[in-house]
Amino acid sequence: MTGSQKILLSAGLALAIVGMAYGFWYAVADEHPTLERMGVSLASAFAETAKGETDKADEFLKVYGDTRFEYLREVHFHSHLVALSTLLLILGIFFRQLAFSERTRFLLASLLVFGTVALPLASLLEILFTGSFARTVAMLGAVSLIGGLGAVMVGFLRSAEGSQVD
Amino acid sequence: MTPSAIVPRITGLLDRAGPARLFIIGGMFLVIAGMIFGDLFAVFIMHPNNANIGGELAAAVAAAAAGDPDTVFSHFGVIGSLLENAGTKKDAHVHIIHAGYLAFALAFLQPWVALGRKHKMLLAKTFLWASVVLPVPIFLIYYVGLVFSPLQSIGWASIFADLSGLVLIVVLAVELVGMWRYARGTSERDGAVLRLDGRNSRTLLAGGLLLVLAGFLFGAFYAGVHMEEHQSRELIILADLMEQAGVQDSAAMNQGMMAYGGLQAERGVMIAAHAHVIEFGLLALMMAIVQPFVFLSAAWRRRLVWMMLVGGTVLPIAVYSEMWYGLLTGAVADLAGLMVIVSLFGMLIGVLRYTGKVDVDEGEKS
Repeated sequence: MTGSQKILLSAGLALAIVGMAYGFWYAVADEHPTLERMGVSLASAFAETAKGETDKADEFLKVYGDTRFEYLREVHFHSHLVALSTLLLILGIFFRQLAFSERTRFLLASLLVFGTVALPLASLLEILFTGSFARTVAMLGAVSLIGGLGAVMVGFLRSAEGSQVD
Repeated sequence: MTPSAIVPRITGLLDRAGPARLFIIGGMFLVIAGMIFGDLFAVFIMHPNNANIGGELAAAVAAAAAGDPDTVFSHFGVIGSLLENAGTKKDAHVHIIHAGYLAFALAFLQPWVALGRKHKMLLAKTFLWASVVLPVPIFLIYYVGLVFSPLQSIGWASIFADLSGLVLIVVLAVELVGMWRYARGTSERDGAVLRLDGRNSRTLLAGGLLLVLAGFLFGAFYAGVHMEEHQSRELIILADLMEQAGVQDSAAMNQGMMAYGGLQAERGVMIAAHAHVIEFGLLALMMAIVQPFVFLSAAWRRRLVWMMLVGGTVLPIAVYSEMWYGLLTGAVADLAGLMVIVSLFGMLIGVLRYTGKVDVDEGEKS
C-alpha cells in the first residue's frame, strides 16, 4: 500500500464511520422532533390563516422555513459524507495505477480528502453561521473534489497505455 | 509488471471462500435488491403518493379559505403520513444500495486488514446480516408506527433500524483497526497489488470517473444556481397561498397549487438526476474492479459493460428531462434502470461462475 493509498483508504473508512455515526445520532436524537416541528409549523401556519391570524401564520411559516433549511443540511451532511467516503475508498483501491509520481498522488489524495471533509461540513456550517463563511468552505470543497477527480481522470488516461489484457 | 503477472495476483483475492468473496457477492446482491426496490418504489409508491399529497394540500388550503382550522390540521396529518410512507421507502432503497457499495469497498480492502481470517469472516457475515436487516425495519417504520414503543417519538422499527446501523458502524471501526495494524506492520504484509488493465475494466473506470465528475459538476450547478432559489420560492408560494386563502381567491389558489407542484417536481428531478449519476458512476468504478472475476465470454462481458454505462448515462438524463417530457422520458429512465440491473445481474452470474469454477478446480486438485 502506498502513502497515497493509505490516506485515501484510512480517511475513507474513518469518514464513512463519522458519516454513519452522525446519521445514527441524528436518527435517534434529532430527526423525529425536527420532522414533527416542520409538519406542525406548516399546518399551524394554515390553521392560523383559517382563523384570520395572519401575523401568527407568518411566524409559523418562518419556523417551517428555518426548520426545513436545517433539516435539509443535516441530511446533506450525512448522505454526502458517506457517499464521498465511499468514493475515496474505491479510488484508493486502484490509486497507485495513476500515471503520476507518488508525491503528486499523495497531494491529490490529500486534496480529495480535504474536499470530502469540507463539502459536507459546509452544510452544517450553514446552520451555524450566516454570511459567506460556509459558502466559501463549500466552494473550496467542491473545487477540490472536482479538480481532484479531473486530475484522477487525467492520471488514469495516461496510465499504462497499451497494457490491456482482454 | 506485465499484465500476465498481474491478473493471478488480483484473482487470488477470490480464490478461497473468504471474506472478500463474501463481501463481493453479498454487495452485488444488496445493490441489485436496492435497485429493484427503487424501481418498485418509484412506480407504486412515489408517483401515486405525490398526487395524493397535492390533493391533500389543496384540500388543506381550501379548508383554510373556509375558516376551518381543524380540517386544516386533519389534512396536514394525512400529508405527514404520506411523506413518511414515501420517505422511509426512499431511505430503505438508498440504504440497501449504500450498504452494498460499502461491502464492495470492504472486499478489496481485505488484503490490507491485519486481522485473523476467522475474525475477518465474522466481520463480513455481521456486516452483510446487518445490511440485510437494516432496510427491513426502515421499510416497516410507516406501518409499525409507535405500537408498543417504550419511547415517545421513536417506534420499534426505528429502534431496530438504528441498531442495525450501529452494528455496521462497529464493523467498519474494527476494519479500520485492522488497517491500522497493517499500516503499523504488526502482521504479515501480503503486498496486494491491484492493477486494472483489462479493456473492460478500463472502460468502466473511465466511464465511472466521467459519470461521477458529471454528477459533481451538476451538483455544483444545482447548489450554486437552484438550491437556495428553490427554498425561497417554496416559502413565497406558501405565503401567497396563505394570503389567497385569507381572501378566498380560489383562482389564485389553484395557480399557487400548480406552482407548488411544479416546484416540487423540478426539485425532485434535479436531486434525483444528481444522485443517480453519481451512484451509477460509483457502481461502474466498483464493477471495473470486479471484471477480472466475471467468468463469461468476452462478448458477453463487453455487452454487460456497455449496458451498464449506457443505462447509467441515460437514466439521469431521462430523469432530468421529465420536467419537459413527463412520462415519456420517465419510461426511458425505467428502461435505462433495467439495463443497469440486468448488467449487474449478468456480472453477478459471472462472478458466481468464477467462484464455482475455482472451487471445482481446487476440489479436483485435492
